[in-house]
Amino acid sequence: MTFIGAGRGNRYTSEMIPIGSHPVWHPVLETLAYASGYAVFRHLRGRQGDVVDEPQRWTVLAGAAVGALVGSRLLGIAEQWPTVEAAWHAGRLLALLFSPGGKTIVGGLLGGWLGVELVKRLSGIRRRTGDLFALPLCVGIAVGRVGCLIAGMADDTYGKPTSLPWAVDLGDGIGRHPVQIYEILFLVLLGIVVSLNWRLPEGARFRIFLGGYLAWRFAIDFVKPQPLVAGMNVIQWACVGGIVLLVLDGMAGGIRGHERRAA
Amino acid sequence: MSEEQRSGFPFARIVVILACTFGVGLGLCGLNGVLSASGAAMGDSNSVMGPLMGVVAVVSLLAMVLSGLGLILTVIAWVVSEAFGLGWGRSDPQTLFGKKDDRDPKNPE
Repeated sequence: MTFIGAGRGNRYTSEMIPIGSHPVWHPVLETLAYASGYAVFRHLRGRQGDVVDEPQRWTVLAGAAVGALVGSRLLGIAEQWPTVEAAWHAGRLLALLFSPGGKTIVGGLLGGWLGVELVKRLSGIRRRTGDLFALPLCVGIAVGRVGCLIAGMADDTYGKPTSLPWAVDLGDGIGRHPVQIYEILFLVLLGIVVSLNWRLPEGARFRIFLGGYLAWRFAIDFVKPQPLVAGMNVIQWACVGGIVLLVLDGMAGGIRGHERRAA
Repeated sequence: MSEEQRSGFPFARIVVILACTFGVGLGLCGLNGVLSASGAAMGDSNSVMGPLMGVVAVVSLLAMVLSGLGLILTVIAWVVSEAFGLGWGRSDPQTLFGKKDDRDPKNPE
């Protein structure tokens, strides 16, 4: 069996699965992730219909795209806290903001969510519009994670060293947790959950997806060697913030429902 | 009245299209890197991949730069048009976690 990266001078041992580091594939897989997510979205929208009309959906998509772009970039930079601190002291913070690389999925999801809520508020869209995004996001993130795995050590998503039999060698000769594969498996499960034919309130599928993914990232990031701020990395703090917002949203929805019933 | 009819200009559609173009540019940029890693040299007229890589590099760079700039400018124009009341109707604002529209479409009251 030939593994990616074999024969390129990497030090592999029989206990590790050789992957290597191939960062050039990352943008290709990232674009495939966007394309596959959009294809699933189109398919679902065609099959299930939509709760909003087409111009409103464009508005929601635009809010999601801009919010995700800004959120993923800001959190991606914040994630590398020591680099940000050094750039701040050197007066290069603006240069860092526009340097290549450094995007995060959690920042993209939270930024996209807030972007959608903002444009919905401005344009008076009152329906929950996220359900159609739940499965496409599972598919898109899973495809993107293949790129993260192949990128290896060049990507900041690798796991901590381990001696488990399924440890992967990302080119540095050290066996590591294949956290990207763990995440793909989790996303398959989450995709099945949000696709089940349950009778759920409008918007519940997206909230299940978002809450599930944030909880997952909070847990899995304990096996990633990222810089810590007060005991957790920046992504984990963002996950906690996102989960708190989701809980507040759920409580607000529950109170409103109770008031309606009382009235 | 629909969103697009209210705003008069399809800012949302343009933003999404530019974001997609940026994504395609990113993918082409990566494809160029993959071709480079496979040993092809840019501008090498003796190989099939050489001229192709030059084209891919130029197209990906143009796509990313133009769509990125276009995205920023369109969002600014959208925000400005809203600030001067040219776009969204604000007849029915809602809170950030506002209640969903659970009215019966057949009986709005």
